[in-house]
Amino acid sequence: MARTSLQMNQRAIELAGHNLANVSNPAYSRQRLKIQTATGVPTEDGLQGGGVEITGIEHFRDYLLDRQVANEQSVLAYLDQKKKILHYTQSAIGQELDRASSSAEGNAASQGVSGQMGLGDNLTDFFNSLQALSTNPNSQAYRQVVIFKAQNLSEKFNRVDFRLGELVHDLNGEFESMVDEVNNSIIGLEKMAGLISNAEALGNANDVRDRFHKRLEDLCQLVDVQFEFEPVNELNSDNKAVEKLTLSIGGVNVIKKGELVEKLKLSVFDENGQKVERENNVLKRGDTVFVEAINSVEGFQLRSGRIKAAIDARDLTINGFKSSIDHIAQTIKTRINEEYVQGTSLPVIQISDVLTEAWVAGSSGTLSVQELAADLKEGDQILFSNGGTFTVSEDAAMGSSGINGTYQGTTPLTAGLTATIQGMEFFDTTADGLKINERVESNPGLFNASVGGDAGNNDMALRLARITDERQETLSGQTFNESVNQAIAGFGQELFNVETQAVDQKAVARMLEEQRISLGGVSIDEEMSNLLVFQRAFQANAKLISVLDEMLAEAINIVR
Amino acid sequence: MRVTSNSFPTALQYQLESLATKQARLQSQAATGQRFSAPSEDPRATRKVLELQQETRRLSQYNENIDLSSEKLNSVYGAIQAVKKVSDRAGELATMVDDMKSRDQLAAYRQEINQLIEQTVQIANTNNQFGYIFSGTKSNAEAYGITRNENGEISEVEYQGSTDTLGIEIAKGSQISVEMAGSNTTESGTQGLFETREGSFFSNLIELRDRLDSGTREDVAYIRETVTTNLMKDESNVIYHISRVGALEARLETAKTLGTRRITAANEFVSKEVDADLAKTLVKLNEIQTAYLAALKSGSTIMNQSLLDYV
Repeated sequence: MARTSLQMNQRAIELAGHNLANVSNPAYSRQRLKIQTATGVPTEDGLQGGGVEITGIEHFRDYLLDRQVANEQSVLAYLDQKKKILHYTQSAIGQELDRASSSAEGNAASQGVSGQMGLGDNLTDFFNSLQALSTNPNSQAYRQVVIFKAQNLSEKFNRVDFRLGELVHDLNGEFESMVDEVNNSIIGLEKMAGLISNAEALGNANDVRDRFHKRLEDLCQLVDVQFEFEPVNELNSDNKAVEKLTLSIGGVNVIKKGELVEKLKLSVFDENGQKVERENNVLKRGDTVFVEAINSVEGFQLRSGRIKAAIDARDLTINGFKSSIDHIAQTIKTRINEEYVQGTSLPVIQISDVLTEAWVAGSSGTLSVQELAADLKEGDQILFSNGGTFTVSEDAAMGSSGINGTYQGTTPLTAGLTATIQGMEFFDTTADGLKINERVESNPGLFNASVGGDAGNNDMALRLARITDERQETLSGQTFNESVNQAIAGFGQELFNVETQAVDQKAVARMLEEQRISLGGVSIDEEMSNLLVFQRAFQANAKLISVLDEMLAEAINIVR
Repeated sequence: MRVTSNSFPTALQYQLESLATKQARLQSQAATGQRFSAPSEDPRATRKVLELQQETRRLSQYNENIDLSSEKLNSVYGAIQAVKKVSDRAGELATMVDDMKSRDQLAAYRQEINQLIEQTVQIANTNNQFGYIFSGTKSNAEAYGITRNENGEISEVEYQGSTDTLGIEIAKGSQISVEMAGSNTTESGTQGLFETREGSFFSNLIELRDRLDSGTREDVAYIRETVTTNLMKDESNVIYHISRVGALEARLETAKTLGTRRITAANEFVSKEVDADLAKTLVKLNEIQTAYLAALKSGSTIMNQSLLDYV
């Protein structure tokens, strides 16, 4: 009796030591020795107590709580990751409110320190510069300002588009390591589940279970996981049914009754939507990566975790915002050009004094002009001050003094006549994104501020400036500014929602975690007090042996 | 509830993280004077503020257009006043012509009128930062070209400008033209300063000078009956333009006042949405700082207590 009691107390002290050793291990759940009164020994006076016996080791884990923690942590990981990516996106969009820089004085004070230069601000500045030009269409300075503002606008739209493209590219690059991590975790979990089944056949698998749940929760950070230990048609040494792990990711079983049956893989699609193989998985810009199950093509649908967050942020938010901005930029380009080509530049061409022959309607050949101030391209229309039009048939470089083409008009061309250029686009339609026509960019005199050719005519500048008030059909009946503001506010609302949901989810996950700590966490004070009890019990039982030994010695001495 | 050794540190970490975040945000509010700066912090207000700020920028541009129009109008007004002086003097001289004047007196008048013609052409071709102010939309070229006779005197004045004038927007959908063409003999648009459907100031001056040159009884009679009347019509036209300048000035002032009021109102809206109430912010910051200190103090006290100290 004393011997079993000593053994029990020694085991209990060892277990308390094990608990104390893991006090700061968050994956550990405390263990406690399960004991019961030993079966009594029959005597003539009745059944006499047999002391104490160990029945097992209790593991303070709650299966239901573990499943809930795994699920909620997966959702929290999804929201946290999405929040992180959307914060990067918000930085890439570059829209901040800065009241200090709102006035002219504040703007000057904020120069180089802070400022507010979002997409909408650049858009307003561009249209304002057109308004300013309309007050003095002759002015080279105002024309230059329009070019500057258009450059700023283009740069801003293109920069935002580029940054978002880079963010998408970086996100695509992260999938490979995440999927590798998932596959490694699945293999690790399969092995651990086997160890659990084997260990439980022999007694308990408490410590392996702790490691299993730690690994499972790590996996939940990446994907949504459902798991269960199911009894199979196999008996252990205690004649109990052996339990084997079934684990699913995204609704698809990856471990079934202890066997690894599925893994995840990546599929790469190029910018045209064609499935491609990339050497060493080095992605190209414009590629899109999808995460799939190798065998289960259908039915695999991630619901939470960091991988799902990256997919949703990329496909729904970033690409959604990016295509909104691209669409607005395209509409700006189309609408401005549509109006602009009907205008005329300043008079930038003058017929040379050495013109020898009169040009009449229908004449074609080389026209002598004073040095060209801008490149001319085939098809450019030159509008002379006598009302006639000259169509360029061959490119002519800046500085040359001859233009090939055909003249149409009612009066002949004479020396000294001036001409404007019309038909040139403002935004280059062949370029991606917004880009100003290089010829206009290098020569503000070519900007079409007028209609009809008068240098002081501001009709085109005004028509362009008024586009800012137009409701664009392709932008759901909104103005450019309204459309940009809606995209920005819509994005802000999405990040706001994710942040709010993350706060709620964090509260849920924290409460569950508190419950788990409360159930399975180690308390130093508790273990110390138990230690004292077990130590004293051990001492008392040792004393019992000593007393019994003395009694035996006395009995032997009586006989002697 | 069972409290374990990890319960306190876990809860304390969460509390400190939450309080530190609040402190950082309140400090940022106090330092910038803004309740928020990123769209995600208040998406609804962000959209409203962006729209109001863009509206303010546009209104400021309209105000700049108004200032520039006022500047232009001043230039135009200066030129009209100069024309008025010429017109007054030409009228006086024309009225002074009669049969009693000697040929020398008429020659002196003629000489003065000739100078007035030169002066008027000079005024008509006034050029400043906005170009030739009486050339209409052809502001890069002189408004009037002249032909001189064998004596070097102006014998003919021809308008080279456009009858169209520049319209400037001073508010959404509201356009103003502060200029006037030197010549507009058409039925539409503002009538020209020097040439209207009623006649040409230059032609009347040249005719006066040339009639004074011959100085016959018929010429004198013609001057008294026809030229004087024509010059009075020119005078009326100049007065019309002076009145128009006055009316335009008033319109510009009204537009600017309205624009400035709208800017002030928009700024007030933006302020209500964005600006932080400094007093409330600082009180809240103080409150959070106190809570942070309390959390540190209580946490460290509790975590320092253990049975280990007593066994």
